[in-house]
Amino acid sequence: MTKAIEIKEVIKTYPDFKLGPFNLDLEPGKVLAYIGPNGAGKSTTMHCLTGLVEVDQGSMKIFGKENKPDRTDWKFDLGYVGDVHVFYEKWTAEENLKLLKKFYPNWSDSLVNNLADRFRLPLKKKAKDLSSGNRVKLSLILALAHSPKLLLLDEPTSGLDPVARKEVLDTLFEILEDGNRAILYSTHVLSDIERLADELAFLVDGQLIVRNEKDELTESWRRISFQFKGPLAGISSAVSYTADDVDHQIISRNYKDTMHHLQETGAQNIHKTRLSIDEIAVEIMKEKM
Amino acid sequence: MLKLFFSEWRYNRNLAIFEGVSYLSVFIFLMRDEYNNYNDVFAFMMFSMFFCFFIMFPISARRSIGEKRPRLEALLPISVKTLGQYYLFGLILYNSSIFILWIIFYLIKYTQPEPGLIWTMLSFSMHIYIIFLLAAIGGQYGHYFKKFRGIVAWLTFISSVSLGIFSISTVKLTYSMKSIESPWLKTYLNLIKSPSGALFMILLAGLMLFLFYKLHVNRKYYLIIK
Repeated sequence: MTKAIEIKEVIKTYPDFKLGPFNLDLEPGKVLAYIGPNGAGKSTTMHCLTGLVEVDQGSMKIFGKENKPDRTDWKFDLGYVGDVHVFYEKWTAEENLKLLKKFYPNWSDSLVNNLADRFRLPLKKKAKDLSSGNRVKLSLILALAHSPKLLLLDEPTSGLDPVARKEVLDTLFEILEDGNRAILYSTHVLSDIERLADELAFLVDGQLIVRNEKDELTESWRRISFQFKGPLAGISSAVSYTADDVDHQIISRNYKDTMHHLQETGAQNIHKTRLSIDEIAVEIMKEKM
Repeated sequence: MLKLFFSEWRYNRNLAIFEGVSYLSVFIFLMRDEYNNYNDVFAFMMFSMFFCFFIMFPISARRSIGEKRPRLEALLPISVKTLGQYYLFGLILYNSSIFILWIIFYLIKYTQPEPGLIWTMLSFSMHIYIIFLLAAIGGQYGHYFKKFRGIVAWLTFISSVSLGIFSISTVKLTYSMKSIESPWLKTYLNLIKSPSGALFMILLAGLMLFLFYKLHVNRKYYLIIK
């Protein structure tokens, strides 16, 4: 099956930053949360994928088509919402939509109206007068109106207050939950995408460090507390370890291994609790940074 | 390309109307009988150049860079090459329309052919290209080489303004040669009146257009404007 995204040995170098070399692919219909701290290279990856920036080495394909700047075929399958929302500022939201309509044969007016209703977007307002939340909504409609098979969302809600962010995300996820399109969603707030993500990929310092199924991560990571007299060393699968007298706490990436190890060493009162996906992400990135 | 071109035209309609009305007013004002002398074509040229350099150009640059529209356009299903051609086409069309206005003005005012004046007009038309392109190239260069962005931006600004003032002053001096003593300036003023001078300016403007186009084809490098 043709992959929605196929990145092979890509390198992009700036004077103070290097992305890659790394490989990444995404199956059609899957949602990949692309996670990393600020400056990890998430936006650079997105800019390379959208053709805003050309890679130094390697190749990037969108549904089997190379995203070369002199070609346009790959752009029809792509919708992109970045952290900067760019419009024809003096035009109304409606006029901006009309402009983009001219370029996409798949453009659907009914979808635009439906999305505008759901987002409660004032279409008659000039882009420059739209609130931050409404600018995000307009960007999302512009990206979705031609029904792209691949959606790239690069921290689309950054800069929004919590209420506006929740409103945008709730509506967006309702729309995207049909599961028909591949989504690469870059964020450093994992709880934003937890509901939608199938897989998680972690990027630190321009390197892809971990990629896992979301369920695999949530099923294997645990916080384990127990009592044990004396220090413990070499605990299997432990990512972090704290001890206060006889009370110990471990965060384990494979709790079954760890539990087995603890039982063998004679630990008492062993309790395990699930970690939120945000906590897991923090631990993974802390480990690699 | 045309879709984008007409969209830009529609977007800048008010600005275009403002420009058209300004030109027309000055055109009509200078067409009056009492201004029937050698200076009127130069007056029209001076007005055009002042208007281009110090009114239209800052407004257009502010809109394009401030609104980051090139970034939106780069995301559209248009090849980078076509985008480069579209920018170039817009620039050529704009500058050519100014030159055509000068020619119309000249044809209405002068029944006797004055070849020297034609070459001068052509040379000054190329001045407009050169200054516009210098600013555009400097702007792109500044974005590409982030380390020198500030220096390049200031250099571009200062050199564009200086060249703009120099060009307008040159138009004025061209018809008042008596007061000029500098041999360099005299040579320069004589040169821009001649066919070889006009040809040189065309070649220089052509080179700048080529550089501008090449940079626009590689525009992906400077689109990431934070």
